Amino acid sequence: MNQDKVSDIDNIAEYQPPEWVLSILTLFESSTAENAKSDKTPIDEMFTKRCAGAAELALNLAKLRQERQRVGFVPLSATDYIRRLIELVDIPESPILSWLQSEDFSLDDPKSANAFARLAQRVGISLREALVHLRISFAAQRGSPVPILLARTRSSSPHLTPIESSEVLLREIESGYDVADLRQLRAIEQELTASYE
Amino acid sequence: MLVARSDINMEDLARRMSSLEEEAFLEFAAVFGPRFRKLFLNRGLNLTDAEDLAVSCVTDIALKVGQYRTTHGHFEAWVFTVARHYLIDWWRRQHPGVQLSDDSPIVPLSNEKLELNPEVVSAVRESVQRLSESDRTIIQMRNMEGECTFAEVGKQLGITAGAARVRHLRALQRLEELLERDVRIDEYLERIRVIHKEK
Repeated sequence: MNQDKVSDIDNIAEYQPPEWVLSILTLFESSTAENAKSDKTPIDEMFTKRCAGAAELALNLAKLRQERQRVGFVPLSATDYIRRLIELVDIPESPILSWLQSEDFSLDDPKSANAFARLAQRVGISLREALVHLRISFAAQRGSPVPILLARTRSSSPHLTPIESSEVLLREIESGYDVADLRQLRAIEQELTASYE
Repeated sequence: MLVARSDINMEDLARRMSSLEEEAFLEFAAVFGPRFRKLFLNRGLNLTDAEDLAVSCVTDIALKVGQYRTTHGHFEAWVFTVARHYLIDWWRRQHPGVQLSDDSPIVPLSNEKLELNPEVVSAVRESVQRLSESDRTIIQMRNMEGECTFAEVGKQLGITAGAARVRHLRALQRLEELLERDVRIDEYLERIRVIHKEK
């Protein structure tokens, strides 16, 4: 009797349930959950409103993304670039800021890098572009007349794309930073890169 | 605020969302927000986490609608596949360094593009009912209602986690035998064969 039990266990341990059996149970559960299972935690109005807000946010982000595809990369600071896009699309800024849990679209410390990365990815801004927006913001905050310098770089190297000429210029500007500034910039860059999924 | 309609045409909804129709986005939220919430609650998340994740999913999945192609199967199934990926990502963020195993409460699912027709649903329900009470309990705890761990199943039945694992396999084997004898699932099995061939 005991031996039978042992061999039964040995046999069953070798049994691999086919994937279709597991799937059919999962799909059965999903199919019946909405109809048959009484919901123990009824949905309140607040949740419904949050979902509607989430959908409106998605729509606004989708519009921003569409506009961003049309506009492409423009060598502006992170804040200015996002603000201009928002103005072009004519959507409210505040729901986006509350979703980001941020007061503005600035990119001046590692904490804001995370929020910016969230937005930038959804709007279709590549990591390379985001890093350039960050470096432009950083240079502008330190008094560099980025647009004028950039115009000069572009006229001397017309074969470069806007992002390439921005990178050339920024390397030049950054070579004049002191160690503390450089360290701060690298920390934000690192956070921004890590925040990109 | 829109209320979810039962007669909604999902493929049309996807198309309207791709065209950035505001009403379509709101319909998406009304239809899927509560369903995401339910999915996450059923997968063991607490109410706050389930609602937060459901709301995030509404935004992020609605934003990804442009990636949906009819070749992915039905829109609804695609939405839930993405939602389940979000759930797995969420779980990984909450448990960094922990591998998802067959004993994890949240496990990746496959064959998402299959949906069950009412006949198959009845066949599964009847087959589960025909199992012994203990087999039924194990399958319900492990595969259906709660996706409990073997330790939890064992505790409920007064057996060890190892014994629960063995009994679970045995219950699945019996269920497989019952289902295979039911002609109502033939079409479902045929669809699985087609999907495997496509892969």
